[in-house]
Amino acid sequence: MAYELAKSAHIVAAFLWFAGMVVVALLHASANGAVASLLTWDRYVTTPAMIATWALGLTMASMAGWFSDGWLMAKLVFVLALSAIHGVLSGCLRRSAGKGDGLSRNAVRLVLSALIASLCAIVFLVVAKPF
Amino acid sequence: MPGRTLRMLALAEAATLLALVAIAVPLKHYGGVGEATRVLGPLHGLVFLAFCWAIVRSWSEGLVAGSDAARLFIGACLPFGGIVNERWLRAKLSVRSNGV
Repeated sequence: MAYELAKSAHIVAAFLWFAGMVVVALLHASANGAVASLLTWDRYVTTPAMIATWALGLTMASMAGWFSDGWLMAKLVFVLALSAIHGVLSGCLRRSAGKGDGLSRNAVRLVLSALIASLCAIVFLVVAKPF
Repeated sequence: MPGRTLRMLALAEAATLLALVAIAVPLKHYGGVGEATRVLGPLHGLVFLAFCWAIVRSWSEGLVAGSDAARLFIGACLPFGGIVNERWLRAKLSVRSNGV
């Protein structure tokens, strides 16, 4: 179990490292403000990546016969939560591009906490397959 | 007109559901051809998930209200519901974009 925990933490750290670099790069990408860059990135990279993640994940689960496993069902709950959060963030980004109003500071804090908690749970469930 | 992705996904969801229920399932049960459900089942599942995601995004964007989102979700579970909802959504968003 110690190895699985270390592996999960390693993957989570790599995800956060990469995501952090992408955010910093996007903030510097547009002289007219970050919203336009973020909107383009969300449309052409993040959303297709989410669809590919679902399609490839479900294909792998079907090929490996994991649909009767408890860990996969638990993981799917967190993946659904992540997808819903992405939908909310993407909608807020589009609204922000149109009207200029976005999420409050407290809402951002809550979203970031939920994202990191879901990521940790998903990675641990996949790596350790505990039940 | 805003909401183009939402309307396209509503139609795609309705089309894959109808193809699954009206073609693939009878082929499996009455013709012994299981390949149609094996292809259309996961395809419809993926389109359904994408449509649900688009509903959440449109609600968060302020394009549709909470009750509209519920109507779209319920319609997605019924054959022909997606087609009816797409027409309703087109009329609703058209009125909104014309500022009526």
